[in-house]
Amino acid sequence: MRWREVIYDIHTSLNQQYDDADISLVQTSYWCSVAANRLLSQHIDKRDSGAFVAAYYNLQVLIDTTNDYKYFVLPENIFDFDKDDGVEYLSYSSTTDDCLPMFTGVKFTRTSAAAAERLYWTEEEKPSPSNPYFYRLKDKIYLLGLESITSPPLEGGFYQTIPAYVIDLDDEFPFPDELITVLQRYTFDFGRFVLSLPKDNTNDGASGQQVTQLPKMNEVQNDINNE
Amino acid sequence: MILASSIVSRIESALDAEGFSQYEFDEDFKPAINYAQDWITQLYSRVLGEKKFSEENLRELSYVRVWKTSIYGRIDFDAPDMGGELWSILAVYPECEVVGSENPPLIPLSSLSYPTDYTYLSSYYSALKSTVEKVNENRKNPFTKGNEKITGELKSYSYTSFMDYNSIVKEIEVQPSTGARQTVAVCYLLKPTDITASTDYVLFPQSMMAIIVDKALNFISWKQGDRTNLDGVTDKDVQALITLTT
Repeated sequence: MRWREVIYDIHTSLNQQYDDADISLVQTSYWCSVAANRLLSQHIDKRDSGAFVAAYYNLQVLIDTTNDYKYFVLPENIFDFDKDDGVEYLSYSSTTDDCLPMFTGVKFTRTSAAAAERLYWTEEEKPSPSNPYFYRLKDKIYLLGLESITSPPLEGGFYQTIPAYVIDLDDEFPFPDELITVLQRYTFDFGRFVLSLPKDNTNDGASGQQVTQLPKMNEVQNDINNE
Repeated sequence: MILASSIVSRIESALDAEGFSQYEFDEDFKPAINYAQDWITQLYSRVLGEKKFSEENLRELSYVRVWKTSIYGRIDFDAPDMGGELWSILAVYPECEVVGSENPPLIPLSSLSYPTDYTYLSSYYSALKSTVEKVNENRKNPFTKGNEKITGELKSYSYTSFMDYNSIVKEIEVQPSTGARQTVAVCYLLKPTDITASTDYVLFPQSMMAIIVDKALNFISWKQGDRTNLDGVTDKDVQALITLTT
């Protein structure tokens, strides 16, 4: 499904609630992205599927000039899952004439900046070209074990978040089709909340306008659990 | 369009004044009809602003013309270019496709418009009206109309109504700026012109005959004295028609 169908469907429905509704397409798009990211993260967390893994095949390793650490910059924002599980895999090919795919080569193991020190205590765990590690700091992935070799291009698979705005509405909407109905309801709740707020910009002399009943936000987890 | 003489016939009939010279065109009917026009124009100005009135009812007064923006990305809306006195702007279409002259006359960049050279064809954008207070704040807010932050298909435009920026002309500003010499189409309403003879046309659609006649009669009733029967009847009719049409 494309962004166009998803956003325009919700946008048109929202603006039908009031003929004077002034919800912009960007606002609807943003609400969709926010809601979709939450739903998608829960979806990925529940399912062992490669449907939403974005693979990059030529990640260039850079050297931090302040400390000579090797790193690469995440190509897109990724989900911040527990233990950096937003990185599905990270690997490189140790031989240039290897006919096997790069992801069958040397795999990086996840660690953290704080925990990495312990790895150097034993030869079995010590970072090396054949046993490399990575850890994440903000949008950078630092690499341990490649210090002594020329940095090879890396292959990585990531669980990317959905961007807040999309440039081309005809791009594929990276979201499971079966959750579109949940996304619609979730996004409608955003819109209903805004549309139910009292109009404080109406200078009609009235005071104490009360919101009659704020809509209850749906528990999305319930929807997912009931799939 | 409604022929003024047909309105006069209706008024004469309501006054039971057919064939009598008690009422004169120049002294009674003409000012009454012009008054009715002015009154309706003023009334609908408000409901147009509130988007409660369809411009289809004013098709004889509706125009779409194409302008080129100035070096400041603004549109000089000059009365002679429009063909009359402006009543209201209905829509502004930036980035429009046009048909017409392939070699429009070279004019200085500081000059603005040559609407007769192009005919509006289409656009993917409609600029929404903004206020002079909000227009600057909106520039950096991606969720508001006329912001500069969102590009691509989700981009939105806004416009602010006439403003005197240079003591020479009044201009419309479109945000985000389209840049210099870009085509912008403006859909607008002209004020109906006063009639001077019974052969003139009132530039409202035939469907508005009843309200014009009623309001003209209401005007005539003032001259008949305080609270005549005609005053009460026409006033009630006008109120009912206004309620139905707005």
